[in-house]
Amino acid sequence: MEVREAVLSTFGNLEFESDEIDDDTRIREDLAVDSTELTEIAIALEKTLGVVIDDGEFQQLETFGEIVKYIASARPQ
Amino acid sequence: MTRVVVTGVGAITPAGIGQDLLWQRVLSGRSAVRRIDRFDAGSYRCQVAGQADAFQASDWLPGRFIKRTDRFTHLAVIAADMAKTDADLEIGGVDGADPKRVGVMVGNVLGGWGFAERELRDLWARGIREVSPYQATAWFPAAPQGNICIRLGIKGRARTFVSDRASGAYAIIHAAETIVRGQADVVIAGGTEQPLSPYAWLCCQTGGFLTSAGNTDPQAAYRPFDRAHGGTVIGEGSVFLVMESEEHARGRRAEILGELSGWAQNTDGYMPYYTSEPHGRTMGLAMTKSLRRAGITVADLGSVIADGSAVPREDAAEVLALKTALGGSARRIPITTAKAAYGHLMGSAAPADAAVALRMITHGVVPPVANLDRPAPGFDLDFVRADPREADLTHVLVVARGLGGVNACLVISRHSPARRGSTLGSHLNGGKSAHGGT
Repeated sequence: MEVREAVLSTFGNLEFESDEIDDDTRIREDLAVDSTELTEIAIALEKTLGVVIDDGEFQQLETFGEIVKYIASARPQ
Repeated sequence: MTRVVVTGVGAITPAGIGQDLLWQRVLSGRSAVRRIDRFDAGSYRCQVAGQADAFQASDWLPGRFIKRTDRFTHLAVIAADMAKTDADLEIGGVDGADPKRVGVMVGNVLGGWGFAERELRDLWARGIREVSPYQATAWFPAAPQGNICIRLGIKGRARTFVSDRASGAYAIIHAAETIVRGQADVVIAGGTEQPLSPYAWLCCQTGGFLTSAGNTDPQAAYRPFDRAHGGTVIGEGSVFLVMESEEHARGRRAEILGELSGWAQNTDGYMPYYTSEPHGRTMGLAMTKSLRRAGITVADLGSVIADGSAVPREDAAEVLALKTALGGSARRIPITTAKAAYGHLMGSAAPADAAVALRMITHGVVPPVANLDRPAPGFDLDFVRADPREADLTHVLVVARGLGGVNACLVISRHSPARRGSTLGSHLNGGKSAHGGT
């Protein structure tokens, strides 16, 4: 739960409307995120949560819930 | 020949948001130039500018758009949208213009340095992970063009012109030629500029055209053609016009604000010491060619909106160019420079002048040149000073020029369906038939 809130807060800092996001929200289709914005999200999560993100793996994630799971299992910096 | 008309104007300038405030400011003859407060300009020679402070991007655009774009794009997309609304233009849908037949042409000089400077500072100071992934696209001078197309659903020709302070005139000319050639029915054309960041400002200082004489009295700093002229004061803003073929405008029953009846562009190709000719002959030729294209003579010309950079050698060359082009009529055609009232908007300077020209024709008034108290020696033209002057205006010549010796002239005319006879029309085309169109 803690990780989910932190990820959601990071999305909010990047100007997303947090109340429009749930675990099933599709990053590309529902939020209209493109590859550049996905890179911005990855960098922000790394900096905020102190984890290491593999750019290739991160670009494969499809929903907000998958991002939360990925971050929860990511190794610390 | 396909005629090109203007059906909408959008303007965000140091005079405020909207073309009404632009016109009121120009009529007032009072300058909106002020001391710069966007960054610490204390170490620069010129510390004054026109700031479009009334425009706050967050009032108009979502945060996710703002974070990925520079202010010059924010200004442009909203000014273009305002022009579209003013023209009552729909794009797409059952009743709207075909998106593939709508284009966008943008003039810009500097790009998005406000965004870029912040990110490059982070790159050198803190490393690559601190740089916004939007850096490359936010800075790019074509960013406004792409974002206008996305916002307005435009799928036709889109181009950006970088020709120093004449960039916006180049955009308008290319828009007109695109319409005349039948390559678009509608083009939203104009310019945008945001020079108020430390490096962009330094570039302009290095360019050598900014005044250093007005730091203690900002409103008096920009003085085109005046004895005390000492250089340009630039400013931020964006102005767009909806331009379309007369047939298309009539087909959708649009209100026609005026016509772009003539245009010409050329280059001095000159480089002893400075890149523009001191005698202004090539610029004068551009003026003459634009009148010829409009199918008018000097006797038909009601007024001139001069470029009026207030750089002494440029002012002198422009006066000589006007004398060359206007001949014996040079001293009896009222001349003004609207931008003295809000600053030279660089990429959007000529579009702003075109917007003012449309108002001049509508109201039959030539606004005064702000700060022109006593013309410099030899500048013996009919400059409008102090107060607006009533005049019967059918055609107004707009002059734009920039470093590198680029010259571009526009003739804005009162729209009259019967103005051009068939004989005149063929003369205008230089004997050639129009490409495409109807």
